Amino acid sequence: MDAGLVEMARSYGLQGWALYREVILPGALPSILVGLRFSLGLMWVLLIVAETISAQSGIGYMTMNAREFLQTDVVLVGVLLYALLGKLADLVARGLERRFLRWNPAYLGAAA
Amino acid sequence: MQRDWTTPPDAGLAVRIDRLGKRFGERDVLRDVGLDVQPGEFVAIVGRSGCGKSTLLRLLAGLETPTSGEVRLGNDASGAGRDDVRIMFQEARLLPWRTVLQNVQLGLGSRDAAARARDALAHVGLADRGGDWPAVLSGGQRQRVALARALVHRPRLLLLDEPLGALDALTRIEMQRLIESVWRELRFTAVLVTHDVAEAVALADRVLLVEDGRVTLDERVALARPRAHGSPAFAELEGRVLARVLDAPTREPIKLVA
Repeated sequence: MDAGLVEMARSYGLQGWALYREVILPGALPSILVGLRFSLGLMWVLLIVAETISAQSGIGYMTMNAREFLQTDVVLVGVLLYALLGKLADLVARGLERRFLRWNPAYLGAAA
Repeated sequence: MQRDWTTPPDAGLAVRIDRLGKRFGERDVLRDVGLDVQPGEFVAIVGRSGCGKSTLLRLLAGLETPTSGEVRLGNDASGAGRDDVRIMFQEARLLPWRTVLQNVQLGLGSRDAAARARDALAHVGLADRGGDWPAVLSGGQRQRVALARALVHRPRLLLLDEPLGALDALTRIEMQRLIESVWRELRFTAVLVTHDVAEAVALADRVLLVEDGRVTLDERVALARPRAHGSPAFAELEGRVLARVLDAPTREPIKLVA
């Protein structure tokens, strides 16, 4: 967060909630969204590991079960399902970035 | 409390500085500074970097609190949060997530904020850029937006902290003319901090030199406006002030051998 912007906003009379809403939150948003994307990815990895090791239900359990019985088609569906969910989560996070970081030079012209 | 931006203001604000001192830790940045600025006067403060000129300006803006002495603006003590004192920084400090027009509206509460912001933008020649993001503007355009953002509040005292320092030579001259023309039109008091002596002589009624935390030169500039950079009187004065700036005695000789 750029301290100069906060100082400028204060000298223009912004305080408290207005300062937070107009300056601090938007300034922190890029980092917040990067954190969101990163943690979404980590979330899927952890879910897969947890489900394959010691779950009684779920996609991971289904896939591991299918592996035991050599049901390759079911294994494939499980893997594809994970891939799809991961991609979907990433798209949502990217969409949020495009929506909220329109002003950022990195996104200028990328969004409608 | 906000004044209509197209009508003349209640004239500039008088500035009175009395025995002002500022200390950061062990270092005295300003010592015993005294200064009187008339309402509507344009004062330029020059000096080498680190001489305390920016600190003096920040004290005027209420961004720092004095260690000793006092600053009086008009009849009141200084302080942040006055809506008739505005500061322009070396960087434009525009909020990148707001459009140009929204940036100019910052801190304006009134219902006609958008109309006034558009007026101010037209005044600095950027009427058609209101919908753009700051990221697509050039450095000079950003500073013009910052100027509009300050002017929209109808300041009675405008503080300029080397606002043209980062601009190229041509843009700088253009900006100097713009600042001079709005100052002549709106008659606010202006205090400009700069390291460019030519800029100080071109714009100011008075040029002050700050050295070692003190005001050591107070030179009145009696040249007619608009001032031509090449004229002999201009060059003579610029040379004199510059020589004085460079002549400043160094504080301590460097000892190479203990």
